[in-house]
Amino acid sequence: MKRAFALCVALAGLAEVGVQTAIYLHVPSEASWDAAAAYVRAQVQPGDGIVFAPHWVDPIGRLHFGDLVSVEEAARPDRSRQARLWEVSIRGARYPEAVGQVTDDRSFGRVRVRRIERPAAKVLFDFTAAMPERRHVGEIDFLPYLCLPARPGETLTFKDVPMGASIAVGGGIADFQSRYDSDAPVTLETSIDGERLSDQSFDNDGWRRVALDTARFAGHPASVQFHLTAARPRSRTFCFHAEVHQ
Amino acid sequence: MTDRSVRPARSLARMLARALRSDYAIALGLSVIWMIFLLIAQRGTGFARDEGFYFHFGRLAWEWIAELFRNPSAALKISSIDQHFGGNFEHPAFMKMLFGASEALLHERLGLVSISTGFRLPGIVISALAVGFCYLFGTEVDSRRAGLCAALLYAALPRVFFHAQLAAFDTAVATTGLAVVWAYWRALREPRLSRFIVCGLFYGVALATKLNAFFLPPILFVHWLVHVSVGRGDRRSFWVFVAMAIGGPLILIGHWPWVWTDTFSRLGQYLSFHLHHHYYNTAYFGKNYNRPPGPASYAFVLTAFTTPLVTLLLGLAGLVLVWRARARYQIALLWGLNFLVPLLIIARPKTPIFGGTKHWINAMPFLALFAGVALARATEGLRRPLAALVIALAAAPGVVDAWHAHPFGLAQYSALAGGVPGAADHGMLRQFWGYPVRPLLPWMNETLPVGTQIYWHDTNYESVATYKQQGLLRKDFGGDTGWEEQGISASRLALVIPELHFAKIEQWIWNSYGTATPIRILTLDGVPMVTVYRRPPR
Repeated sequence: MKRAFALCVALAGLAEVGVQTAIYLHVPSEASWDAAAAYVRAQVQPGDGIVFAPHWVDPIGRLHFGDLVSVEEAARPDRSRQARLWEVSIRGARYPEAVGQVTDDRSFGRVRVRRIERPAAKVLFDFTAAMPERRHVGEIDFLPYLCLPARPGETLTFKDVPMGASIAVGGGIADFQSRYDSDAPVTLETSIDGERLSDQSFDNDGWRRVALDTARFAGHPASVQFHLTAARPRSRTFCFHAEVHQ
Repeated sequence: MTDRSVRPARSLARMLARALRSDYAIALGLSVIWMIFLLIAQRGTGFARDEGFYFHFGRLAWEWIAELFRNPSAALKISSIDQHFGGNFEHPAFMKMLFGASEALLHERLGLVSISTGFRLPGIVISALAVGFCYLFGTEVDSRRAGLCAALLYAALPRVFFHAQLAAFDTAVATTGLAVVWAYWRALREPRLSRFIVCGLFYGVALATKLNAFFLPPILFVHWLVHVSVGRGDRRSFWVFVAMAIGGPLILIGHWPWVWTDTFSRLGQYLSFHLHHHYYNTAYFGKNYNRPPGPASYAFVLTAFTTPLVTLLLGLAGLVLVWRARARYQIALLWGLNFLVPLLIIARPKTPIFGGTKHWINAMPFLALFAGVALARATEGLRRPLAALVIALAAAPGVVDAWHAHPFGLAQYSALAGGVPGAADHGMLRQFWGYPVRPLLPWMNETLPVGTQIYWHDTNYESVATYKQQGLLRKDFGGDTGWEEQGISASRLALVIPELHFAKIEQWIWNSYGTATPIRILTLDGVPMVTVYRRPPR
């Protein structure tokens, strides 16, 4: 009995060291990352998206992919315009939005590269890009989003916006401290040519996307207003992105 | 003539041999061995955030002691006491006095060690003594082999190995707390005055080390009630509590000048600081916690995720073995309570949980003791080389993990968690305290232009200043550029020490630098520990 106990202990120790060693050895090498980056660099086309999974490996991906991942790309708030996504992943992780037809799938050591193709939205107007001085990267639910900060009471007006079938809006409360300090919702009122189209409520639950139906305005330029309200405005550091889809 | 001179020499040699074979000598030897490992390892470990503060307050404590010898009346003025001790009253002065005295003596005066080693040495020495106490306790309760196994398994706990290197209080109070429990148990076995006094003195030292010691008397009292009622133990052993009631406050107040005036009010402030402690941020399964209620499972899951699985299983087996052994249930209860209560305190929804495993690290010697007994049982009857092999294999996962994670010990996770990458997948706390920048320093010294302004993120000013004083970092680099966005704006190089709630820091850097491409990343098993950005030239 005691010998069996000793054997179990010895085997358990060996097994644990074995698992640890396997964990250490399964780390993707620098060469794997570089090979994956070189492959994507040779294949990538303008407008393609590059994403990394799991999220914690994002800095390592950006280190190796360098200029292929600009701030705009790293913090892109809406990838629906990207017909091709390059998903670079380790440990079998998946990027949540990398859904579509897999047209390329190869591994470089322990780094996997998949090219996903899907129908893309045609963007007629990007509200965030239209305000380069104002836009910034905000932290919402601990993830980066390139977005327009807005305080309760503020109105942002965009004139001569080419209208399409919908406006895709995404937003959330930036900065975790604000989310801890208050849980009051904010409301984003969207008006087109003075007509109130929609009131969307946002709270602390991360980045939320909505599509506003603008089909009846499609085909001609319009004035678009975003007005933010909050019953309790303290610590409501809202940040949003919007774009007109054809 | 010759015979007469040889006899005393032989007798002395026999005495020496006996002394060296004594359990106290073995305990001391084990402690010294572990201390040497710690001393070597700490040379590569960065200065933790709190260490920076304790370096500072250690210096102040030593200044006061020196002043006490030079000019006692000036030193004893309230203004002088407040100046030297009032800035940091969240911990008693004992360890800080030792930090300061060690640095002043061993570094400044004798030049034997570096500044940081000078400050760290007292913590290392006291922490290392836990290995000796594990040996003594295990030996006295069970067998020398059990003591040896307990000592080995404790020393091989990766998180303990990390914390024991620092000028901090956590593994030190694990030692002093263990010493109290050991002395209490000895007083129960043989209720006599000397043992009561030893326990009382140890308790005073434990109280002077860190506030965890406040929880010891209730735990021990519960045990004592069982001892005298169910176990029909000697009621005279109650005097051990009297000794603690005298020794505790006497040493706590006696060594700590800051509480010599307004004693009750200031002790109240000390306790109040901890009762109303600020809730710092910590990540647990992908969620950031910085306010109550904390998750009740936190301490249990983190213990399971950071302790070698073999040690955990041996600990459980040891609990069963000790409990089932005749008349040993009292030991099982004593060790069990001292293991469990620190975790249960953290499990309270209102207890701040920011410090990871360090806040209940005083539970770990008791896990090691249980595991030591089990490992001794497992190897009973085996031939010595075979027994040594089994013991080595049992300790191997801890040793391998501690060695592998060094110098990023706070990021260590066991095989059960899937290692460091597995813990990152689970969204677990990766680190805190801003300590992991040290491996970057040689690269910074070699490559950065003169006068580079650096945003150091969570690495505090005192740590950076000590890196410079110690010659680990070029002195021409700008100091701290400041806090948050302003600090980033003023910098040419920015460090990010990834924690969930620091995500915004990285985004601020992107906004300020106009790039999302790091120039360097320190990793452990492919998981980022420090990310470095350089402001692109205009």
